[in-house]
Order: sequence, then C-alpha cells, then structure tokens
Amino acid sequence: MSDRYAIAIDIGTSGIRAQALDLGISEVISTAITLRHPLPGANVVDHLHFAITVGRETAHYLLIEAINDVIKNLNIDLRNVERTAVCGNPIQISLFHNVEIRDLAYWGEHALERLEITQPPRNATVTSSEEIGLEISKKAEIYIPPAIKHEIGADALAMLIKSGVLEKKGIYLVSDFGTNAEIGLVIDGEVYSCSAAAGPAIEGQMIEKGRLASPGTICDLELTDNGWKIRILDENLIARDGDVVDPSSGKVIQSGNINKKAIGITGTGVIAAYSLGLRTGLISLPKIKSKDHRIHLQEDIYLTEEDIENIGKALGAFRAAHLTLAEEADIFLDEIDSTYMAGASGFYVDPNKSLNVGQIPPSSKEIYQIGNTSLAMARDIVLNPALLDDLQKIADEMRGKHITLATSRTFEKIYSLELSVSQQGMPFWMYNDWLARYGFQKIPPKVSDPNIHRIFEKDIPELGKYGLKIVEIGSILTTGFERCINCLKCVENCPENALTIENGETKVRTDLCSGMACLRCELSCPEKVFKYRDFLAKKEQKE
Amino acid sequence: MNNIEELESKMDQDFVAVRYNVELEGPAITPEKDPDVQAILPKEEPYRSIAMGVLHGDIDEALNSVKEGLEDGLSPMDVINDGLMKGMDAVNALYTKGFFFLPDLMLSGDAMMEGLKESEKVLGHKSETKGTVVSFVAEGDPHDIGKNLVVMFLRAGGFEAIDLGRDVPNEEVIDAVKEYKPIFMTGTALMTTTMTAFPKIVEEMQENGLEVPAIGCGGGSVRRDFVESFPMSVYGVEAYHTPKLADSIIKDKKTWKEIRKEYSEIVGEFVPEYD
Amino acid sequence: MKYLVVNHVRRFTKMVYKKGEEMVFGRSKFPVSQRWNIQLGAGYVVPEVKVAPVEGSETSEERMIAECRNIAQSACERAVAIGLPAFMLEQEHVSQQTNNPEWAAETTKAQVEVLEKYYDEYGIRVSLRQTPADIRIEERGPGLRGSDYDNNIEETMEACAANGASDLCIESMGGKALSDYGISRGDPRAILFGIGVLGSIDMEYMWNRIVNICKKYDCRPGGDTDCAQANTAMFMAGGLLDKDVSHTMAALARGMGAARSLVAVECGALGPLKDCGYENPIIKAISGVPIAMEGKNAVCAHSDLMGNLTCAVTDVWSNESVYHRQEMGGTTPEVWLQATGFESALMNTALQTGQEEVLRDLYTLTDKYRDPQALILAYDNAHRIGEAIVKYGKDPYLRAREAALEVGKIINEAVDANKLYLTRFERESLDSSLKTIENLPMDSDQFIDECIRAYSRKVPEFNPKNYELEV
Ligand code: B12
Ligand code: SF4
Ligand code: SF4
Repeated sequence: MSDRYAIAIDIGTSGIRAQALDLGISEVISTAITLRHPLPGANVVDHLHFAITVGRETAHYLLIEAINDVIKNLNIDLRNVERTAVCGNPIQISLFHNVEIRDLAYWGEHALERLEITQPPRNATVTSSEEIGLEISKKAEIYIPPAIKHEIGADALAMLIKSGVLEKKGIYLVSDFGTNAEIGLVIDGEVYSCSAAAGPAIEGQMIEKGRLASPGTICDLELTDNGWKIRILDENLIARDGDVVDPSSGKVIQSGNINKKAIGITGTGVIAAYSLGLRTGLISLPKIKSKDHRIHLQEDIYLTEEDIENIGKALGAFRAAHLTLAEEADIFLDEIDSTYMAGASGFYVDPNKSLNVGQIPPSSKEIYQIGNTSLAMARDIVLNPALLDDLQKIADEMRGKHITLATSRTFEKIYSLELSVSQQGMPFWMYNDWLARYGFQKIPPKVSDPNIHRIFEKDIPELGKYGLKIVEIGSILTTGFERCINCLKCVENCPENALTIENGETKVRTDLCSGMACLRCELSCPEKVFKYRDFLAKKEQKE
Repeated sequence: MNNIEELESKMDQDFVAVRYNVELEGPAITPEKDPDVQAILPKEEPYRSIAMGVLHGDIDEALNSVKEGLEDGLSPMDVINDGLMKGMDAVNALYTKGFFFLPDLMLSGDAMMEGLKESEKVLGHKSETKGTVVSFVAEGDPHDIGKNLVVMFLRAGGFEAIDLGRDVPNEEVIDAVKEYKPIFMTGTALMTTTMTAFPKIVEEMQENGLEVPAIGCGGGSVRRDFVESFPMSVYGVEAYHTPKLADSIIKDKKTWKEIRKEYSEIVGEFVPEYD
Repeated sequence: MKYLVVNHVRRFTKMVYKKGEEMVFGRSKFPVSQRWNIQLGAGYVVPEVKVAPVEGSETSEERMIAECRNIAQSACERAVAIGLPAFMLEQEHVSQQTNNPEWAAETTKAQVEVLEKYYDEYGIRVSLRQTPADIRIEERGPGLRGSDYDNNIEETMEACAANGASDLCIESMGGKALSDYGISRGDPRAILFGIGVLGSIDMEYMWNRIVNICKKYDCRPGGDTDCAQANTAMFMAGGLLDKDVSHTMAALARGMGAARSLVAVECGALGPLKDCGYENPIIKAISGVPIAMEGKNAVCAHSDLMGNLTCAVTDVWSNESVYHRQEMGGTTPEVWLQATGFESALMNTALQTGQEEVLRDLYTLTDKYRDPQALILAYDNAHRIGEAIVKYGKDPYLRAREAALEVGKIINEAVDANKLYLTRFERESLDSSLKTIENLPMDSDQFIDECIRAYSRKVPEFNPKNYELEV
C-alpha cells in the first residue's frame, strides 16, 4: 500500500457518502456515509432556505464540519490525502464551495434583481483544502465539477457520463430520481435535459408514515397469492422479507422472518404500494377502496388518501416531464432504446413498479439500474483530474438544449392532465384523448416483460477493504429564549423529536430537524419568544 | 315480414342482458344531455348557443354566437349573464359531478373569457361583476397552476380577477391593492423560500395604511399555522373555495378573522385542514 | 401502382343475398358437398367438434398419430351414442404437425380411417377438416413468403388433401404485427392497414395456393378467419368491464376483418368458412357460401358477448377448441360434440317445422344489444356491412374502410334509437376512430404509401417486402 490517498465525496440531499482511494493502486479502500444531511430540512429547497436564512457561511460550516466527521472515519491518514473530488446537485455543491446560492432559491428575475444577485458561473473548479476547510493535507487539491444549468448539476452530468449514452447512437432516457428528478433524453449523443420537481413524496416525505431509507423501514412490497409481502430494511440496509398482510385491513396473514415492527415506509415502499394498489384495484384514484380508506402495511404503518394524492402529484411530474421532453425532441416515447435509472432511489426501486406507476415510460424495454453515479464520477475525477476539463466541455455543449419546464406550455397542459388523474380519477383513455386533442403523442402501452439490467449488487458497488462505516452526525445548536415560560409547547409540537429544553437551554439537532418547511416550534410558541434564527446567531458567536 | 322488430318491441332488454359497464359509469351522453346541465342551459337562442360554446370549451363556437347575438342588438350584459355565465354554471355542475376535469375547465374558462372580452368591447367598459379580486404568485416562484385555477374559478363565479401572474414583486402587489381596491386578494406560493413574501406584503400594506378584507394564501408548501401567524390572511385550501370566500366577504361582510373561524361552513364542505 | 387492385381473383361487387332476412341457419346459397355423403349449408346444421392434442403428444410422431386417432374415435363413439345424423371433426394442427408434412399425412390418414369406419358401419355423415397452422414468422428472413415454414405449410396442406381430408382451412396471420400495434395503441389507421391491406394481400398469396392444391384431390378449400386480428381485438376488449381495448374499436376491427376474410372466397374457397371467423355472417351475406360459427358452445375456449347470436345464420356449429382430457361426462371430444350436437338438433328441428326464422330471431335478440360487437353481427346489420364492402368490392383497402364506417353508422343508429347505450370510453373511442378513418385518403396507393412510411420504423416486424409492396 502506498501512502498517497484521494477522497471521493457525493453530497446528496439525504446524506454524505465518501470513499478513500489508494492512489498507488487506484482502488477504493474504505467508505463512510451518513444517513442524514447535516442541514435541517428534508429536501434541497429546505437546505437552501435554511442557508439563506442563517447565512451561507454558517450553512457551509455545518456541511464541512459534517464532511470532516465523515472522512475521519475512512481509516486513512488524512494528512496524506492529495486529491478530493465532490459531486452533487448545484445547491449542495455551491454550499460546499461556499459560493452564491440565492440564485437557486428563486425563479424569475425579480428576486434576483431586488437582491442584486449575480449568478456564479459554476464551472469546473480546482481549489484547495484550506479554502474549503477540509481537514486534510493542506496541499491537497479539491476538484469541483461543473453544472450544466443552474438546476441541472454535476450529478446530472455524472449520470449522463457514467451511463455511457453520450457516445452511443440511439435514443436513451436517463434519470436520477429524487425530490428533483434530473432527466436527460439523449438522441444520438444530443442531450435534451430537464429537471422535474417531483417532490418529497418520492423520498417518503410528506407521507404520513413516510421516512428516509433507514433500518426498520418498509422499502418494497411484493404481491403474493394471499396478500402483500412486506420487505423491510435491516441494520445493514439490506431488504428482508417481513410479514404477508392483507392491505385492506392490516391483518397479518403470514409472519415473516423479520418480525420487528416497521417504523415507517420509504419512498420506494410508497411507490410499491401505489403500484400494487393500482394493479389490484385497492386504489381507484383518488380513493382507497378499503373500509377506512387506508392501505395497511403493518400495525400503525399505513397510507392515507392524502398520501396517495401526494405521490400521484409527484409521479405525475415524471410522466409529464417525459412526454414534454419527447414532444420537444420530436420523438415517440416508445422509440427509446433503453432507460437508465441512476441514484439510490433509482437503484432500490423495483423497475417493474416504476414502469407501472409512470416513473419511467411504460414502454421501457431495456432498463439499466446504474447506482450512485455521482460518487462514481467523483472517483473518476480523483483518479484522473484531467477529466475535469472534459466535463467542462461537455457541460458547455449541453447548456443549449435544456428545457425549462417552468416556461413550457406543453408541460403545463400535460401536468394538468396528471392532476386530473391523481386528484379526480380521470381514466387513462381520457388522458390519451386529451393528449390527442392537444396534438401530443399518446402514452405508449406497457411492455409486459422489460429486461432489467442491474449492473451492481449495491448502489455503491465497491466499499473497499475496510468496508462501510455509517457515521452518525449529531450537530447540535444551542440557544436560550428570553421570557420563555418553559411551557414546552415547542418541544411537544416538534414532529421529529429534534428539540430539548433543559435549564433554560434550548437545543436542536440539526440533522433531525425539518427546518424552514416546518418551524412548528416557532409557530406554536404561545409567548412568541421562540426564534429559530437565534440558534444560528449563537453558532456564529461561537466561531 | 319484419318479424324481428315485432319481437324486439315485445321484449324488455334488461331482462335478458344488462350492460353493467353503462350501469356503473352512466351512459355516454353529450354534456348538454345531462339532466343537471339541461336545467341550467338557457332555452332561447342565441343564449343557448353561447352557453353551449362555453360548455364545449370551444372558443370559436362561443365567440361566433356572442358576436351574432351582439350584432342582433342583444345587450352585452344579457349575453354575459344569460349566455356565458350559464355555460360556466353548466361546466361547474359537470365538474362537481366528476364528469368534467381540469382541462375541460381551463378550455371552457378560456371560451368564456373570449366571449366576455367581446361583450365588453360593445359595452365600452368592464362589465359589472360581483367585485374585484387580485391574484398573484409570490416573487421568485414559478408555480402558477394553482393560481390559474383560482383565477378561473373566480371568473366563473362572477368576479373580476386581476391576474398579476407569477414571480410578482411585493411592490407590484401593493400597487395593485392601491389601484383596484380589491374586495379579496389571493396569493399562491409553492416554495418555502417564496412563501415568506406573504407576511412581508401584509407588513408593507399596514405601513402604507392599506387594507383588504382578507388575503387568501395558499399553495403546496403553505400551511395554516404559518398563514395564521400574521394578520389579514386566511389559509386557502382548494382553488374552488375562492369564489365562496369572496362571496362571504361581499354578501355577509365577513372579515379575515371570521373566515378563519368559519372556513368550513363558508365553503360548504368538511375541510380537514380546518378540523 | 403499389398494390395491384388484383385481377387474378374475382372480386365481389354485388350481394348474393339481396336481403339480410333471407339468411338463416342451415341454409346457404351455395351448399358444399363433400365425400362421405355430407352436404354443408344444404338445409341442415352440422355440429362440429375440435380438440387440441394433449400436451406431450407433440414429442413424437407416433404419439401424435395415436392422439389424433383417439380424438376421432371418441367423437365418433359419442356421435352414434347420442344419435347425431352428421358431424364435422376438425383438427387444428400444432406447429409440429405442420412443420413435418409427413406427420400431417399420417395423422390425417389415422383420422380418415376412423371416420370412414363409422361412415361405413352406421351411415353417419362425417367431414374431416384439417387446419394446418400458420407457422410463418414475419420478422424472420426470408419472411412470409418462401421460407421453410411457408413451404412446410404448403406441403402439409397437400399431405392432408392427398390423405383424405374433406376440406382445408387456415387461420392466416398476414398483417398481424400491424394490427397488434394498432389494437394495443388504439390506432385505427394501423388496424385498417394491418387487416384491410396487409391481411388481404397475404390471404391472396395463401389462398391461391390452397385452392390449387385442393383442385388436385377430392378435397374442398374451406375458409379462413381473421382470428389473428379481429379476434385479438375482441379478446383484448374482453368483458363489459374491461377497458384495455374499447368494444367499439373491436367492432370496427371486425368490420374490416370481413372485408379481409372474404378474400378466401374470392380465391375459390367454398366454405364452410372457418368457425372462429365471427365476421362470417357478413361474408355469407355477400357470397352465399356456408359458414361455421361458434359461441355459447365454445365457452371451453373463450368468452364472447354473443353466444346465441352467432347461431342465427350458421351452417356448422363448433366448440372452437378444447384440450383433450377427461371431464365428468366423458372425454372432451365426446362432451363438446354432444353440446354442439344438441344445439344443432334444436336448429334442425326448427328447420323441419318451419320455425327457423323465429328461432333465428330469438337467437339474435338475446345478444343484439348486449354489446356493440354483437349488434353489428346481427344478420340484418351483417348484411348492411356486406353491402358497404361490395360497394368498393374491387379495392381491398377501400372496402375495409367502408366496412368500418358502416359499423360506426350501425352503432350510432342504435344509440340514437336508445336501443344501445355506450360508456364514455366506448363513445370517445368510436368517435375518434371514425374521425380518423373518415379522414383517410380515398386512394389506396396513397394510403399504403403513408402507412409504409409511418409504420416501417415503429413496427420492426413489419417488412413491406412480405406483401410485395414497393417501398
Ligand atoms: C408542477 C411543479 C413544477 C412545475 C411548475 C409548472 C407551473 N407552471 O406551475 C415546474 C417543473 C416548472 C417546477 C419547477 C420547479 N419547482 Co416545482 N413542483 C411542481 C410540483 C410537482 C407540483 C406543483 C403543482 O402544480 N401542484 C398542483 C397545483 C394545482 O397546486 P397548488 O398550486 O398548490 O394549488 C392548490 C392549492 O394550494 C390551492 N391554492 C393555491 N393557491 C390558493 C389560493 C387560495 C385563496 C385558495 C383558496 C386556494 C389556493 O388550490 C390548488 C388546489 O385546488 C411540486 C411537487 C408536488 N408534488 O407538489 C413541485 C415543487 C413545488 N417544486 C419545487 C421546486 C423546488 C421547484 C424548483 C425550484 C426546482 C429547482 N430546484 O430547480 C423549480 C423552479 C425553478 C426552475 N428552474 O424552473 C419544490 C418546492 C420545495 C419547497 N419546499 O419549497 C416542490 C415541492 C418539489 C420538491 N422538489 O420538493 N415545479
Ligand atoms: S418543530 Fe422546530 S425543531 Fe422541530 S423539526 Fe420543526 S423546525 Fe425543527
Ligand atoms: S413554546 Fe415558547 S414559551 Fe413555551 S417552552 Fe417553547 S420557547 Fe418557551
């Protein structure tokens, strides 16, 4: 083993993933990840909002602090790290880089003008560990890949490159499923891209019993002869068979080998339930046809009609985006040769179900699940820093053909059909009729037996000889509120149990807190003394 | 020779074969044959054709009938109230029944607006409406589908809706309040970063000594507790609630405080968010 | 011209039946006589039974021969046991039979032996129908014409005829790739192209050969069916509550299917037309040939929405198909021949007592308004569609188009008369399809050109060369 190391980092909305590589033998030696993001909030906009509210510096600091914690767990001497590359969406990368983020928080010119924001170029950049604040060798270079367009970032570039479709003839659809799905339609190497803001339901949020993927969550369901078989993530995040239940009553029909009670349902689990519900007729949009209008998966884990509406709205964004892209690029969806699903959700979801619910086009004959391409690209960059220039070239070329859905009339029309389906139960033949009326193509029929290619066993294929370490991030911010009467309303109302008050000290765990989209603590304070912002003021003083 | 017809006339079809698909979903009849719609549609021409144009979401059909009517010397107000509005009422009836969907509403709304503009040309000024409402999407926010629905329902409900569009700076909202003196205002935001515009707008209005009876704030990321944390505001749940809220303001002189308390009663249905 | 409005066959431009109500079961304008003293469409209805060889019997020639012999034996035994004056046995080939002409020769021979024995012994009138499988694969070179598969079909046909089959049928598959595409996508143009044009072209190729073979032997050219296309639409349309394919769309496909299946008769097929051709009443109205039909006694094979109505003008009454196995009432050849046998007895009684028109009308009325697909096959409507077809009789495309338009008219009239109600799905699918079809060109070259351009890429199995169409 040599003593020259590199680190590859992927900053995702739901956590940080880092890998150490031995530069002598060009191999991964260890992996460390977190299961949460250090900033409060459940999606990037929450992170962004938090960062804007508390100031970029603080947000950057929290993020880097967490990354430093993670890389300390990589089992290498950090003083010997020569290179580090990051990848992720523009918001995460900008927070990492500590550059302007406010342009990502608002749409249109007005806010940008008023706040006098200039968009940073977000080009490929080489910077230093000192600049960023990473606790590694001072001489280490840090590589930051370019973004294509402000809402389509290096993560999208990664999936396009790692899927290998840019060099091939043919028509390919590549998407990274997340709250914001990046979608690329590649026609003989020419890329049409868009970002479909599907929403947090895709990751199990805004769903009453939804949770990010973590041990004890339901991540998939399988239709069996006598009911739905539940698949639950174990301590190592491997899916195991749980009970078989009758989804309309929750009655356990057959006990599984994981008999621990599930603690929630993940995004992939929600999609599975939606898919099976539609298939079996338990869901007849927008209604659930059980006695209490719920789908029961286990004691106290269920989906409500409101959940179904939310997931419907989110999935609708996918289908509407696919149709819009196809219309703009002037192809038919069933001409697509293969479909690539990137990212962790794209890896762990059952493609048959994605196909059934419209997350990928129903005509997808060849489906590739390519895993975490962001981390893969960060690895490629540290092994070959010259790649950064190539990436910049590719990004420059691509900037032209980005389709901004916000100004697309096509998208708006199709999305209102989606709303009609999910909120009002418009049947699909009528949907197709409307498409025809608008002069658009129809939804292609569903293929019955798609070929599914799962390139790796896990979304991170190679963990290295030291294996995987899951790092708990527990950044705590502390403050005290003057005139607090200690009624504890704020603590009671916190849905995430992120808050404690002891001896006049109020503490919040930022990694658990939902942040700016929540603020139930502040809103529920009868004395109006709870000020979320105060946490951060204190933090800054501490610096 | 025509024996089969004689036989056929003797038989009760349902005794032999039931078309359960039709029983279940109701037969496909043209919208104008629906009994509720028949009760709404005017009987006389050209009002009937005008209303049918709106019902069919057919701009040309509606506009041509409106033009013909106006050329024949009908009063523009009659064209609006007895033709266009009746068409929209029929559309609403079918929407409520679940036979019409969002895109039907949008097309019919467009047809009605075109007819309205034509009538107002002849009228020489804006037509009398129940009142003026200003609608906007918060600055920095592109999500305008919900707001478009709000505007459509307001117009269908007989209100003049001033549509400020999306990404609307706060000053523009304030200016619109000054200019139109609306009886109601609606704001929509779908991003947590943009919904903060609402309290700021209220603050600025208060600073300028301006007031509206209520500001309905809605949109995906907005929650009731947030909206009720600043004055003058009411949390809006469904776009089709908007005309009912506006009605309660002009008819029953409801204030924002009262609407907050009586939301479910005003909109006439159970609203979980107000439970 | 892309597709010669072909002249080597005689096209129907006039109706043989002048009125729908002239048609009745058991009687046709041109009865067919076969060996073993049987006449079809000559005043009595003949029951038919058809049984598929049990799984595993295709593994060797000996087994297949034994299997076919057993089926014939069982059928004959039951026929005499319950006193049937006549019956037809049909053997639909499994692919191995057609692929090995020598098997076909032997299995035919075995069945002939059994039937002949019973004919000799009891004087029972029998008919042996052999239906080789259309084993051609469109996308596999050299395609539909001249491949080994294709040659095997021809040799098998000849083997059957030479070894004593009473008549020959086939369910030809030309144009299926396109009609499948159109049916699953609700694209009426693709359906029309697949059925009306490609199906018709391919049938001509197939049937001229079959007729020539039959001429050499004491064997009749029977008929074809649009099973591969219009029945696909019907099965996908499913029951009343299914929504994959609308029942109105399936009715349109049926109308087109009649224009296509008529080609067999134009090439010289004499009937009875093949049982699963639900379009047969239309072809009978046009051409006067006897037909075989199926319905309520084919429930072993599938479900349709017109189980009685299909009896109304049939000449042979079939069970469609059933696996060779044991039921409580006997083996399936026995059981199902008994079912079709008794139904035929009822029809024959009506014929004898002069009540045939009443029975025909009762059959018709039980299903006429059950479904649009049934409505259009009621004999009066079938006749109307026939008239639409002969109006453009010389042009296979235009006549299929016209048939579809007439189907639309018939359904709309029934709806307007409040006799049949459609769901919105059926309504909109019919309206939009009719609109599409009405707007199609009135020139078949132009239509074919457009379709070749539109579908060559989308339907990879489709190769215009298979239909001798220039690109
Ligand atoms: C469609 C959509 C888009 C479309 C918008 C098209 C358009 N013209 O509106 C497009 C694709 C353009 C888009 C873009 C973005 N979006 Co977007 N989008 C959505 C989506 C999927 C649905 C929103 C929607 O239209 N809902 C339906 C309408 C009808 O609902 P509504 O407006 O809320 O209105 C209803 C009620 O609220 C009510 N109502 C509204 N106002 C009022 C007023 C009154 C008085 C009353 C009574 C009622 C009422 O009436 C309606 C019901 O009847 C949501 C996710 C989701 N599942 O909800 C994300 C979502 C809103 N988007 C989001 C984001 C972040 C974005 C982007 C900023 C993403 C990015 N980073 O680039 C971009 C915008 C910038 C850009 N570069 O374009 C986030 C917001 C997250 C947050 N916490 O703030 C969401 C939640 C998705 C996510 N990623 O989590 N998006
Ligand atoms: S209540 Fe407050 S502390 Fe708790 S999750 Fe919400 S914002 Fe965070
Ligand atoms: S709700 Fe307000 S007053 Fe009550 S404990 Fe929390 S901060 Fe103090």
